[in-house]
Amino acid sequence: MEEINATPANGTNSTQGTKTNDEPPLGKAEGQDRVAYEERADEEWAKQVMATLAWKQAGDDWVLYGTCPKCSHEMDKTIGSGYLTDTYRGSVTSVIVACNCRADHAGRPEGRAGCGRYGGLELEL
Amino acid sequence: MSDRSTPPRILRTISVTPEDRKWDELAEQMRMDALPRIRGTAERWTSTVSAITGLFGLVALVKGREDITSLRSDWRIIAGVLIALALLIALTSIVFAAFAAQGTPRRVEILSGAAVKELYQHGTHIARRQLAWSRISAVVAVLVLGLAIGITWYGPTTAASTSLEVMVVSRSGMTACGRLSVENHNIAVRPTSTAARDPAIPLQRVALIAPVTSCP
Repeated sequence: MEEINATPANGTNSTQGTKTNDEPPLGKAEGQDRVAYEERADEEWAKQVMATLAWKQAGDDWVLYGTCPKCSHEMDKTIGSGYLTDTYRGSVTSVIVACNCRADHAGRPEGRAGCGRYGGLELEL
Repeated sequence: MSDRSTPPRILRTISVTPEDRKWDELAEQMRMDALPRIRGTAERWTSTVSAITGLFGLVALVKGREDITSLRSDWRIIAGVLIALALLIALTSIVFAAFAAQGTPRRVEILSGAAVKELYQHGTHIARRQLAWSRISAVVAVLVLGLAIGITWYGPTTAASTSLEVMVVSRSGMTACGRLSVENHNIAVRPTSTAARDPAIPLQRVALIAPVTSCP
């Protein structure tokens, strides 16, 4: 994945509530990588995702990446090039962001990824 | 050209449900499985083409008995039209079934959970209707084909009408020509040219009965 630039996810230049590549993962705590898998929608989790994850470009796609506020493992969400055509540019759409880390989480079903947390974000394309 | 140098902007968080999550996962799965699904559809279409080819063979097999040409021309036309109609309806049934099984590929710019949900709901509705029409048309096709075959077997033939014209000669030399009937063990002939009936000839006095193309 070719990284061209990184932009705070909420589109602001403020450093408050945003993450840079040099910062440690937000909310990292001892023993947190042993977070048990629990699949549920979590709006507070989504707010932390909005505040901490950053954008990077990969080809024609934009990738929202960073660490999961719950388990502190790397996660990402790709916004494909289909979203970014002239037809949809400037429009508002909703996406679901979920932790998709590959770390082990107790109780995770076969074929699943992440720690189970997910939430919805509204995007202006 | 689209301006792809700036990323999308997150406006706010929204509440989502487990169902939304499942649709989103399905969207992702469909995006990943797009190529195998298209190839699978092509394979199923091959089976459909085989079924259509087999249908043509079936119609050729049941086109009728060898002496179908002996059917009266108007009934022969009716039988032919019915067979063609049955073929057309059966073809429609196969096509409806194929569309129901395979769906119709649609281009979707944004393969989101909401888009996939709409695709599935619309596709299910259309497929259910197509399957129903496929079943109805299959039943109608069988009925029409059965009717056509029945006509080829039991329809009036030109040979039957001419065979009734006979020339009867009695031992006394009396002749009669017309349609043949038997009444009280006597042979009677109804002339085809007039309504009058020739005198009945007792069977034991009949010298000759000969079919004729037409009475003199």
